[in-house]
This record gives sequence, C-alpha cells and structure tokens, in this order.
Amino acid sequence: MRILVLSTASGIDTRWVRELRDSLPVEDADLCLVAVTRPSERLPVTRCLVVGPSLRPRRWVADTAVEGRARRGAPKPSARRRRLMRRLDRASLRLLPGGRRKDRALMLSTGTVWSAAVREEFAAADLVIAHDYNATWAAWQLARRLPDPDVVFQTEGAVLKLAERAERDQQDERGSLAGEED
Amino acid sequence: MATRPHALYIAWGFPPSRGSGVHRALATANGLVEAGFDVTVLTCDRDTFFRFTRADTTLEQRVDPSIEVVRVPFSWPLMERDIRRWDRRRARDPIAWREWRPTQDRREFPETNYGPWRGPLVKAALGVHRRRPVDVTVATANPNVDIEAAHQLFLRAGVPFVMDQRDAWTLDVFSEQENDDDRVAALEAAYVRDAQEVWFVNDPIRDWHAARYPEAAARIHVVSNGYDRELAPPPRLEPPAPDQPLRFGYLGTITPSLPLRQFFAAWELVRADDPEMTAATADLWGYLGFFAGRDGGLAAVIEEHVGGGVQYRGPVSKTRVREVFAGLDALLLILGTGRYVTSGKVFEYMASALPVVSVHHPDVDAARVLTGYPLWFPARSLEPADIAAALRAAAAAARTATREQREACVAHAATYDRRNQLGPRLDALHALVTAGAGAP
Repeated sequence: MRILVLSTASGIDTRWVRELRDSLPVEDADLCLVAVTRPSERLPVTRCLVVGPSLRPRRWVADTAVEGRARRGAPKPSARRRRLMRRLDRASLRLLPGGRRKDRALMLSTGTVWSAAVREEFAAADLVIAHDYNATWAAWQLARRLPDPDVVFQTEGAVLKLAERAERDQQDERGSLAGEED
Repeated sequence: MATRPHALYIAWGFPPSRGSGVHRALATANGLVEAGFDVTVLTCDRDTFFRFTRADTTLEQRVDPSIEVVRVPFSWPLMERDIRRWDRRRARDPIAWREWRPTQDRREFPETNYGPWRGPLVKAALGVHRRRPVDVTVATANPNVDIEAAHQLFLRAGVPFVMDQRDAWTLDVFSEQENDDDRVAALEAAYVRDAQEVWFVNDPIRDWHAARYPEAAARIHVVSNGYDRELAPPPRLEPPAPDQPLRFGYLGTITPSLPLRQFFAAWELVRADDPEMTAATADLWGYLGFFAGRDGGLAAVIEEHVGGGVQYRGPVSKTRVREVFAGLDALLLILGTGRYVTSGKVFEYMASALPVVSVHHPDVDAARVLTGYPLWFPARSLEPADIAAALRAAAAAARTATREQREACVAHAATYDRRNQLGPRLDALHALVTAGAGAP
C-alpha cells in the first residue's frame, strides 16, 4: 500500500517515521513524505519531498536522499539560481504581516499544489494523510484537484478509513458468499 | 383479522451499529413485534456506522423481517476525518473550526454531535405518522435527540411515548456531576412530564430520577439490560480437564476508564506465587475504545503487559461470543468506577455460569446484580493484593465448583434474560394502546 504523508513538522527524524508506522495497521507500507523543512537525517521512507520554508508558488521541490537511496528527481537548479530564489523568498516574506510569514500551512500548500512530483505521488497513493493541523490546507487543495485517493486527517483518520475499507470488504465477501449459497 | 397497533421505535444506534446499546435497541424492536405491534424503526443511515463507529452486519440478520427500517441521513462533522468532505473554512483553519462547531451543533438542540439531526428526525417521524398513524412511540437514548423526536410527535399529534433513557442525561453516571445546561434540564423535565413511561437501566439511576421528579415516580421503571437468549453462552456445568491450565477472559469494549494497570499488577502477583496460576492465561477480547479508530494509549498499556499469559485477542463479533466463552474457565469483570454503572457484559457473564472475578470499585452497580451469584469473586478494593486474592479464589472455584453450584448460577442469571426485562413493559404498552387508553 502506498501512503503519502503531508507534514509541516520540523526536525523530522527516523523515530518520527517509526512512530508513524507503528500507529498504522498496515505492514510494510510504502511511505512517501512531503515536508516543509529538510529532515534531520535520511529517513526510512520510499521518497521524501521538501517544499522549503517559502510562500513562492511553483517553486522547486527538493527530492531528498532517503535511507538506502541517493536523491533523485529533477536536477537541482544552479547554485546561482538557488541563491537568487532564496533572496527573493526572504524579501517577499519581509513584505508580509508577521503571522503570514510563519504560516506553515500556506508554505506547504504553495509548495505542493503546483509541484509535479507531489501531484504524481498524490495521484499514485492509496491513502493520503494530512499529519497535522497545518497540513490540512495543502491536502484539501490537492484533493480538489486530483480525484483518486482517500485523504484523511491524522493517523486516527487513516486507521478509521482502513477499518472502514476492511469492513466493507468483509461485507462484500459475505454478500457474495450468500449469493453462492442461493 | 384485527389490525395490529403501530409502534414507532426511534434509536440512533441500530444494526449494523456495533455500539454497546445496539442489543437493547434490537431486542426492543423485536420485542415490540412479539408483543403484537407492527413496528417501524427510525434510525440513522448505515454508512454512519461503517465510517465512524464500526459496523457488525451480522446483527442486521437478527432484525425481525416484518420491521420497516427508515433510515435518516446523519452527518457527524466533528468526527469527520475525510478531508474531501471538509469545507474550505475547516481545511484552512481546523483548530478554529473545532472550537466553533460544537456551538453550531447545539443551536437547534442542546446535544453536541447530534443536535443538527433533530430537524430531519422529527420530519421523518411525522412522515411515518402521516403514512400510517402511530399508536405509541418508544425512543431510546443515547442520543437524547431520539427522545426529542418522540416528544415532538406527542406534542404535534398526541402520540404517547416511552422515554427509554437507559442511563441519564442530566446526570453524568461516571463523575456523578449534574449537567449545568438549563436547556437540558428543561427538556428532560418536559419529557418526563409528558412520557407515558420512563425507563432506566438500574435502580440507582431510577431512584435518582424518581427523587428529582416525584410526581412522575410511579411512571419511572427499571428495564435492566440483560443477555440475549439466542446469543448468550450456554452454561458450563463441568470444570475443565484437570491437566489443562486455567483460561481467564475479559469480553467487552476496553476503555481508558478500566483499572487495567491494577489488574495487570495483580496478575503478575498471582502468577509469581500460585502454582495453579503459573500456566494460566488471561485473554482480553474487545475493541480498544468506543470509536472505530484504535486507541493508541490503551494499546500501549496492553502491549506493555502482553506475555506472562496475557494476550489481547482483538474484537469479537456478537455472533462469535459463544465460541469465545466456550474456551474460558473463569471471567474477568473489569469495570470503570461509578455507582450508577452496571455494564452490559455482566449479564452474559452470569449466563455462562462460570466463576466471575470482579475487578472494579465495590460500589459499582454491577455488584448489586452479581450479589447472590454463587461463583462471584469480587476484589475488596482495587489494590493489586485484593484483586490477586479474588483471582486465586476464582481459580480454585473453576476447578472445584459443583454442578449444583453452577446450576444455581444459571437460575440467578435467568432474571436477566432480556426478554424477562423488556417483556412485561412491552405487554403493558400493548394493553395500553389496544384498550385505547393511550389515544390522544
């Protein structure tokens, strides 16, 4: 099962991922993580996309290295271009009111909604989890644009959705068995 | 052939719900048919149970086929975790939305989560009455909005109603605090004033309400929960094979209010110093928490203690309960605190005729029900040493109890066959409507 996790937490590490896995009733799920800031270490996930602490739409999203695999995806922009973009981000953040400058919900949504890599992962996922309160805006925006996966709030929502699927499957099974008996 | 009177039964939690009150609802609806009524049930849509509380579709097969089930769509915004169903405002600021929403829920009717259902439910009740006049309504709480619909049918069309309150609305049976919402107090007083009968699950709750509403005391009855004859475990009248280690078991929803830590401490004590218990096992069966999501805190407490004979076995469908009981030699009645708390599982426990170890505060109402049950072993307190003593006594009884003692357990349990509890009240209702005494 492919699960896409959207999170605005900072300092995400291996322990964070392990706890997330432990709270899900799925063995060996393929986890893809989309975060605002770079994790503190290589994570045990299949893919980790970092949108960066910026509010600039359509920005480049880093496809960072994960445990057992080097970084992949589109080549990084040149160092000169990255410096220029960072200066632009800082300048544009200074123009915003204080509250908006640190709005991680907006950082995640502006970084994800137009990202081809994020949209590709979203469309291919069996389940999308908005891991925290700030991640719901990005999840909702993506859900409006892409029809397929179930999109849930927090791991409790994921557990609930998976239980619902299992119960419906069981019911279908019973229904078809009853049909066979007839 | 004379036309059977028409009863409307209102219960939010009806099959395929797997909620704790569903068996009472199912028994009441089927009991009304047996008592001679044509029955229409008003309940919420099936999807709600799949999405929020978990469903047990096997229960639907137990609904009498003559019953017409009318399902009223229900939305549960505060429980909604499917982001595709959220609106823009909630998605953008879920914390602010969460603070705002309960007030919205309670605008029309003072019950968080269920308040907005009042309008559609009342409309549906009136619709049922328009299609075929209702002679009597029985409404089971929770939620209390069920009773509101019955009351509205009484006010608008004069249909007498039974308020099956089960526990309490203005009294929190766990904390024993009163609800300080004036709207709740006023509505409850109006319901009690106008109801044909008011039912509660046990004497302490009944007495509390009879004291609060002395003018209605004669109409307030206890309709205890009980076991369902078709599903209850058959009594075990023989001890297990002497060479087989004893198997203890708990069946029921596992909630944070249960004294699990105390039980685990006691279990470790007896396993350490009692040879009979060294090989004994304790299996815990049931959902973790009331809702579909697994309660992580509870799971952690149990996982800490798995091993040493303790196993968490997961949920068990009501239709498999017999099978589980058949594999046990003694039962663990682990309950939260509250002198108004009886618990539904105690009745099936008694029907099994197995030794029962009570792991709860001595004031819990279940103790009243178990008083006189010959193989009852209550812990004197929730101190691990006291629980351990009760476990040892139950282990000895599991080996040595005679057939006569076990038959006496069966006799004690018979009072709590659910039909024996509901039957007299439903017959009285039938007599009332057929005599025309309940006519508007």
